[in-house]
Amino acid sequence: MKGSAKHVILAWATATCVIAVGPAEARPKKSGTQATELDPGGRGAISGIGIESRDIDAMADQVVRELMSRPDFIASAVPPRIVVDSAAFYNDSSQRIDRNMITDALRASLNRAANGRIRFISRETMALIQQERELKRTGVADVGTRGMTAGVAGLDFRLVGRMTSLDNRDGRSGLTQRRTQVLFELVDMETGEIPWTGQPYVILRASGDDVVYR
Amino acid sequence: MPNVTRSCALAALLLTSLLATASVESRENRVLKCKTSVARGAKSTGGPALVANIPRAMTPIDLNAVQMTDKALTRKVVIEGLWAQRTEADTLLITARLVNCTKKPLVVQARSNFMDAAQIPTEPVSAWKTIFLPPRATSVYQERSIGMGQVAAYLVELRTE
Amino acid sequence: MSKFKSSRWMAAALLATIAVPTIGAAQDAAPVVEDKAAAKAAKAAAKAAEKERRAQEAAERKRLAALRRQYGEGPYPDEIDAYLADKPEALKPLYRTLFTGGERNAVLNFQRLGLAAMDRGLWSDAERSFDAALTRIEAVYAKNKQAEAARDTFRKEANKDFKGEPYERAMAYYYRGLLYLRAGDYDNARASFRTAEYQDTISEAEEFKSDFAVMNYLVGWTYHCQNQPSMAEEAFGFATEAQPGLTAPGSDDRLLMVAEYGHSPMKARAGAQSEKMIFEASPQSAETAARFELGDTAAFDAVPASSVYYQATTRGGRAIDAILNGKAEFKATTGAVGDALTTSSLVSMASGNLDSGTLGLAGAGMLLSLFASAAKTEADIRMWDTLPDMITVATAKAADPGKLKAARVDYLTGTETVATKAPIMAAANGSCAILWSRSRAEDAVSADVPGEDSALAAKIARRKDIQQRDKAFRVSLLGH
Repeated sequence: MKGSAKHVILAWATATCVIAVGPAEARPKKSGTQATELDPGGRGAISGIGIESRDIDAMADQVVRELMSRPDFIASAVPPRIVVDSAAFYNDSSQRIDRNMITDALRASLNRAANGRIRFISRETMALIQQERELKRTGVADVGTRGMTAGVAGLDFRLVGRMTSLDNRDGRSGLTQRRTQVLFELVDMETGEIPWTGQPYVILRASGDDVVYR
Repeated sequence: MPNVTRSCALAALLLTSLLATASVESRENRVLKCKTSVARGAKSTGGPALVANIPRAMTPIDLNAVQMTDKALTRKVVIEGLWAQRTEADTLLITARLVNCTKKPLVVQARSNFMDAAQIPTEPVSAWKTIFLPPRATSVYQERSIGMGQVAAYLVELRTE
Repeated sequence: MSKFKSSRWMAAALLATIAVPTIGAAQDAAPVVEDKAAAKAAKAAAKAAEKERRAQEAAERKRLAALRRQYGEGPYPDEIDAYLADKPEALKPLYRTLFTGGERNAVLNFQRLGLAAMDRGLWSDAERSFDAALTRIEAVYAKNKQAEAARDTFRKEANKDFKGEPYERAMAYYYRGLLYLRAGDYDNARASFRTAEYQDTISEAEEFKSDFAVMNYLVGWTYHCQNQPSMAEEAFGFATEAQPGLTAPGSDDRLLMVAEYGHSPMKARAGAQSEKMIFEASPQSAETAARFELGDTAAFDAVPASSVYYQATTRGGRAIDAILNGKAEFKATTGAVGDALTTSSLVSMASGNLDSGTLGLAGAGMLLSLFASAAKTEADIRMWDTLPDMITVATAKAADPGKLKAARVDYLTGTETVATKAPIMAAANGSCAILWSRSRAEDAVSADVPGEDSALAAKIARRKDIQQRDKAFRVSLLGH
C-alpha cells in the first residue's frame, strides 16, 4: 500500500504541475499606462471600425483642399457667403457621434484656409443676433463700431453632408466590417443647385471579437 | 513656378513618346518586375532640397519629389510618375503614381507639404491619405495645395500604414 | 474631479498666502540687527514643523499600508464614501457595486445602474452609464487575457469581462436610443437603435437574423420625426413584417408612446457539467397589455412590438457553447477513463496483484480524475435582471405639454386594469414627443451582481494585474 500512496502523491504532484503550467498567463502590466500625447491625425491608441479622430482631420482637410481649388468660390470678386454647421449634416450611420465635431473641424479649417475669400455666416446664433439687433434698434445699446444693416447676411451656399454606413458580419469568424461614407455638397440657397460635391470620404474597417463574445 | 511647369511639361513629353512606342510594340501578358535598387541608388537631381542648418547633419531631402520614411518601403514601392499642375484657382495639384513591386497588397499613406520659394511652408501639411496598392499594380495619389501662386515647391512623404 | 481640483487649488492658494508674508518678513528683517535667539527659535520651529510633516507622512504611509493589507489595492472605505458622496441616494447601492466591482462587471453594472437611473428619471446618470456600457461593448476584445482565460479548459467562462448576450447588448443600445429620443437627437437615436438591431444578427443561425421589430420601428420613427418619409417607410416595413399586428404610425403622428412590462429573461445553468447556459421560463407577470391615456377621452392601446425573452431564446447557438461543450466532454471523458483505470487497478490490487504496472495504472487513473475535476465547465450566467420582457408601442398626433404631463398608463390583464402609472419619461424636445413607462420601474433592484460566481470574483479580484486594472477603472469613474 505504501507504494500506491507514493504513486498517488506523485500523480497529484504531476497533475498540479501540469495544471499550473496549463493556462499560459501573460505578464500583468503592473505600472498601468500614463496619459500619453498622441497625434490626432494618427491611428491612436484605440481603434475600432467606425469614424475616428484621424478621419475627422482627413475629411476636413480633403474638403478644404478641394474647395480651395474651385475658382468659382474663392476667386469671385465678391466673396460668397456660406454656412457650415451641423443643422444640415445628417448622421444616417450606425455610429453615435457628435456631428458638431465634424462640422466644427470643417468650418475651422475652411475659414482659416479661405482667409477672407469666403464669408462664413452663423445661423446657430440667430436668436442672439436678433436680440442684439433689437437692443441696438431700441437704443438700449449703441450701434457699435460697424454700423447697422437692413437685415442679417443672406446665404449663398450651405454645406450639407451625410454620414452613412453599411455593416456586415460573418457569423463564423466573428468579423465585423463597416463601410462608412461621408459626403459633402454645396447647395445654392437661392436656386437649390448643387455646384460642388466632394469626393466621398470612404473607410472600410473590420475587426473581430474574441470567440467568447460571439 | 517655372521649375514645376518645366518638369511637368518634360514628363508629359516623355510620357507621350513612351505611349507612342508602346502602341507599336506593347508588352503584354507579363508580370511587373522592378529593380528598386536602381531607384535607391539614383543620384539627386540637384534641384531644390531641404538641407539641415548644420550641413551634413542629415541627408538633404529633395523637393518636388517623394520622400519615403521607411527603409522597407524603399524596396517595395517605386514612384512611376510625379506631376504638378496649376489648377484653375492657381493652387497646385500634385499627382503621383505609385507601383507596388511586391506580390502582396500594400497599404501606404502619403501627405504633402507645400512651400514657397524660400522653402517656408505656405500652409499646414496635408492629412495622411491612405493608398491601397494591389500586388504588382499601380495606384494614384493626389493632393491639392491651399496656397495659390506663392506655392513654389512641394514634398510628398510616404509611410507604411 | 472638480472636487479634487478645487481642493488642490485651495491648497495651492493657501501655500501662496503663507509663502508671501514669509518672504516679506525675511526681507524686512534683513536690515535689522541679528537676533540670535530669534533665529534659533525660528530654526527650532522649522525643525519641529519638518518633524511634524514627516510624522504625518509616515502616519499616512502606515495607514495606506494597513489599508493595502486589508483591501489590497482598494477600494478603501473612504474612497468609496468620497465617490458616493454626490450620487443620488436611490442609486448609491448600485454606484457602490459599480465602484467596487471593477472592469470585469463594468458593463453589467453600468447597464443596471443606467436603467435604475431611468426608472427614477435621473437622465444624466442614465446617459453617462449607458455611454460607458456601450463604449465597453464596442471595444474589440481581441487578444484579451480575460477572454482567453474564459476559453481555458481549467478556468471558468465567468473569467471574461461581461459584455452580455446579444439581447443584453441590444437593450443597452435601445435605452440609450430612448434617451436620445428624449433629447430630440434623432441621428444618434437612430444610430443606437440600428446598432441594437444589429446586435441581434450576431447569431450564426440565419433564420433568426434581424427580427427585433421594435428596433426597426424606432429607426423608422427617427426618420419619421426628421421628415424623411421614404426612409421611415422602409424601416417601418421591416418592423411590421417581423411583428404581425404592428403598424406604421400615421403620417402626422408626432407622439411616441412606449410601455414595457413583464420579467427579464433569467439565465440558468444546465447540462451534466453545468456547461449550458439556458433561460428559465419567465415568471408569469400580472400585466399582459398596456394602454396610454391622454386626457379623459383619448386612449391608445400599445401594440406589442418585441419580446426580449423571445430575442434571448431564439438566437441559436453561441460560439462559446462549443467551447463549453468541449470542456464538458473533456471533463466527462477524462473523468470516466480515470475512474475506470483507478477502479480496475484497485480491484486488481484487492485481489492481491500488487505489481508496479497495476500501481502505475492506478496512479494514471487518479491523475486523469484530477485533470477532470480541474476542468471548469460552468457557463457564465451573469445577467441583466432588471430588463422587461415585452416592449409595446403606440403613436398619436402631437399633444400639448399639459396633456403629456397628465398622461397615464394602464397595465392590464386582459381588460382588467392591474396598475395605473404616470409615464416616467414625458418629453418634447425635438419635432416629436415621447412618453415612456415601465411596469416594474419601482421593483427593488438588488445591489449584488446577479448570477455572479462570488468565489471566482474574489479570486480574480486578488490578482495583481486585475487590481491595477480596477484601480485605473476607479480613477476613470472619479473623472466624471
